[in-house]
Amino acid sequence: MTHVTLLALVGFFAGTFGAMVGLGGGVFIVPVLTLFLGVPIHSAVAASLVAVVATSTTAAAAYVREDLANIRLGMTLETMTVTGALIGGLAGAALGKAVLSGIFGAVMIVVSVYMGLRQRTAGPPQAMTGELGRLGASYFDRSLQREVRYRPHRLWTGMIVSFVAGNISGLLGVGGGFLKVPVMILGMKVPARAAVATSSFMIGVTACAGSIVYLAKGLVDPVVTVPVVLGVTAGAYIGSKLTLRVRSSILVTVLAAILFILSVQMILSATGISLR
Amino acid sequence: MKKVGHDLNPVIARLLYGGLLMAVFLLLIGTALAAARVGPPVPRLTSIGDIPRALRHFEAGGFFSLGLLILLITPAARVAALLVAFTRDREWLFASISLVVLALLALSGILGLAGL
Repeated sequence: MTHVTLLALVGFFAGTFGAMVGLGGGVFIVPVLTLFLGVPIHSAVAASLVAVVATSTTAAAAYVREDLANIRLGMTLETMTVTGALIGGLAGAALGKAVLSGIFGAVMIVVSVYMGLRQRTAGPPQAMTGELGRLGASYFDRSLQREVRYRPHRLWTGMIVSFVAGNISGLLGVGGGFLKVPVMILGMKVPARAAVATSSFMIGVTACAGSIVYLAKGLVDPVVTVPVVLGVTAGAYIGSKLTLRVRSSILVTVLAAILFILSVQMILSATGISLR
Repeated sequence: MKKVGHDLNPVIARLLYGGLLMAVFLLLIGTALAAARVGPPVPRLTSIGDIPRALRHFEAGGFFSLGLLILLITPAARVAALLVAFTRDREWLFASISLVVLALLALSGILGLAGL
């Protein structure tokens, strides 16, 4: 099997499983490309960022059409995610391979543990009356068969976390939704469906900022990026169709375990130890 | 209060889908050309100014460059569309926020090109 086909398959499976558990797929693309296909980590991060733009664009279009994404809240938080991604992208492009691999592994170990342990933390959204305020919004929830109105709380918490999520995105080539979504739900009291949709809405622009930095620095290798982008786009489409047919709790646990192992390998490879 | 978004949502959704489909189409053409060994053996991204020439010569790198460019411009175009909508509705706070996001995206390219 050619290298290009393998790259497309990595993108395809990352896109499929990512869409099934609500991730952009970047968390899997970077370690698999670097550990198993010998892609330099900076090229892998760049390819992953562009792939995240593709998957989040698809998801955002669907969420915007269904009125789920809170455009005003998303735009407000985007000022921080894009600033973070810009700084993260510049830092990531400047860091050495071993340091970047080590940081990726360490951050993703935390993400994998969070993925594996997370429980349902939010019940159905509470009914709200009164003014929505500037950042409030409403949408029709099909499962509840009623309109859900909400007003985000603690905007500054969301702004700070958005900056960190953007920073991680630009630095490591991931979307950062794993950080923003729980904070929006638990900290800002945004209903879960709106939080996921608003995060997807933001990720395209966040990853775009990081991608532009890598592109301008000549780190986007089309031989790596194009097959990954095509694979991940097809995979995300199929994954979104499969989501309803698979028990996501089992899938999340399996993917968290895989991500944990890959993360440990990333740290080991950063220290020059190879298990293969 | 009239909310920007509800009337604009279908436009933004079409813009995002359209940009993505066009980008994927161009990347597929580039892949077919690379597989058929048209142009340089290892496709390279071309500069923006060189894209028209590369497209005329059916070089894979030209199609890859244009496809990736359109893919990355699509989210930025979404921000620009919101800037226009918020300005039209005189929602100056959110128009300003959209402008800041667009400026930050432009800054990403400038700082990247400056080699920082």
